[in-house]
Amino acid sequence: MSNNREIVADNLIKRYGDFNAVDGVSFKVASGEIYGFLGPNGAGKSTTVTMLTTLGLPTDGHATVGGYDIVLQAAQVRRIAGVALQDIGLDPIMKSMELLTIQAQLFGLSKRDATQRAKDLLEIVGLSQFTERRVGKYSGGMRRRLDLAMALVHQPQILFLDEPTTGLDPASRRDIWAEVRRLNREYDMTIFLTTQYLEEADELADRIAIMNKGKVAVEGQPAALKAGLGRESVNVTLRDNETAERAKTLLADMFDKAQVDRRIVRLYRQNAAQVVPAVVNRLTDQSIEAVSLTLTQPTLDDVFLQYTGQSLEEAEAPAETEATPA
Amino acid sequence: MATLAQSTNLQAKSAPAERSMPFISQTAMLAKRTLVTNFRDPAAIVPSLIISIFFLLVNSSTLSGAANFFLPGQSYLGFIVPLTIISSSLSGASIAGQSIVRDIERGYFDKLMLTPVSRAAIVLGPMIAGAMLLAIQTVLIIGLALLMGLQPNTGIVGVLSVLVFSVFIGVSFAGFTVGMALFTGSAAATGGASFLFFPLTFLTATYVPFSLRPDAQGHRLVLADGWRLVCLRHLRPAYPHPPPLTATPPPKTKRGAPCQRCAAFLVSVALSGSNHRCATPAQSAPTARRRHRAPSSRGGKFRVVARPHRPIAATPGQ
Repeated sequence: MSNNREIVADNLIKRYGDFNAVDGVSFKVASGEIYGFLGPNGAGKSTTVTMLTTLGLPTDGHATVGGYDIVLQAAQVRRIAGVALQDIGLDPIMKSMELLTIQAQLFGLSKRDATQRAKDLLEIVGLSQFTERRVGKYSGGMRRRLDLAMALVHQPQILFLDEPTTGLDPASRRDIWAEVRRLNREYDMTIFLTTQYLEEADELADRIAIMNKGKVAVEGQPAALKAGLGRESVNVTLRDNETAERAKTLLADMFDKAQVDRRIVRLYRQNAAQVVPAVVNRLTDQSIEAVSLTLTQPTLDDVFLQYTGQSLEEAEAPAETEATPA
Repeated sequence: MATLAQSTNLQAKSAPAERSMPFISQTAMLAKRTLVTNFRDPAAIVPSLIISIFFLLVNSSTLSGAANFFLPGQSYLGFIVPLTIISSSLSGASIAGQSIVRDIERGYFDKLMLTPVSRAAIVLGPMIAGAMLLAIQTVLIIGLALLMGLQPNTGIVGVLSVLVFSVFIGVSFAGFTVGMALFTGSAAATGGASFLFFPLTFLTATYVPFSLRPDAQGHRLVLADGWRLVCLRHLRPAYPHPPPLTATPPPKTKRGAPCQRCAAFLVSVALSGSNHRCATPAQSAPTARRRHRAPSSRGGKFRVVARPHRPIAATPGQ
């Protein structure tokens, strides 16, 4: 088996009529890397995943997954790639054990191996006690976990996760993150992850690409991109406006910009988290009591503003452009 | 889900890089899955069965009296059962299309497409499951008809061949519904396509014959007249047809030797095919009806005569 677990896209284009859903996307994901694909709805993330996972043909351009061409060697790509799509593809009438066993058998496992594999995976995703329940009765988080298990039946070397945590509660989201990290760490799986959440990409990805209108707007390590952004802010809430003004004078020299918004002092700078201890120390020294202190990260909107010159809401394309073609 | 991030040996077995399942097994497994889901959620099966049985009961009880006019001495049940069977097999054919469109809507179709399974198996599995379900439906309908007093002259072989034909017709129509499902991905469009057949039944000789020649429909001929008659009439055109407007029953026939029966079966298969083609609505039924109306059908009295085999002048009251 080839040890190549790279994903390489070269000027991929997907055109629907006059509309270029994906408009010349190029990138390279190294073996064993977690690569985040960020962007608003309609940016072309899912369409890119659809092409890379052989569910849709590119209009133009080339891409290889694990060294196999996504058009000419689609069967090989399917064997080494595990895919969990944005829309969970589970038949609600069936039971989790049946779904996993069928999927494993379709990948060539014998019935006995497939059953064992299904049991192992249900154990991993914590659904062992629900095997006799129809999937239609599962909660959103359980379905998402089962969907992830479905993507892992054939021990893929490359995993595609299309918005794996959209619609999940914070606890389920953290579980998925932990599992993604573990798969990457223990099996050196290459993971291609799309998300709308900057936080998620920041948490998981070694590198990210930000998509806008079918193009890659910027690519790099999350920390580097954020460092380029600046504009993290420390927000200190004080007893009253007067104290806030005092605090502002006291702290202004550590920040690029400081302003008072009623009784809240907002202080802006890059890597604001690093100066939080200093802020607390100075306030304590002057016996100024803070009611609360929060640190605000740049949002995807800020990143967008920086690299595309428009806000996220302006960039949001109609939802149907994100839909995967049948 | 505390266990999610716990280490479990994911790679205990060798990666299934080049292993694959034989095509037959893939198809059988997907067919089995379609059967299981359809039995768990029988919304696609039950209505078509109920409608078919409803029409069988209603038509046979309301029209059998009137049928004395054009089927003297014969049972209207034998005449109407084929319609019930055909309509059931055509509506049963939609099972395959409905199953596929359901998978597409639920995203499970993509899951299948992401495996190295044969693309043909993904489509054939539901079609085979649909064929099995419609065979079961047909058996139920024939069983009901037998309980209601149907006496097929051709015996068990005739009934079985009707079953086989209904499955063939159903499967070919299933191809249409599956095509619609794959093309549109819409349950509404697939369901609509499945009902396309229903209004067309009224353009054909399904309720009353447009000629009194019973061999206008292969199935009906086999059920009503028996194999010998089918053979004789097509091998020897001069063989007399059952008189249309008299009460004389069709000649009693004995069962032929096995080889004769075999030949009769082949002939009826061929006839069924040609009749099926002829009965398509493209060849408009009113034209056919006009052509076979007797010259004496003036003066308000409707009279219908048998269509001759060769295109010679029709002789009323043959």
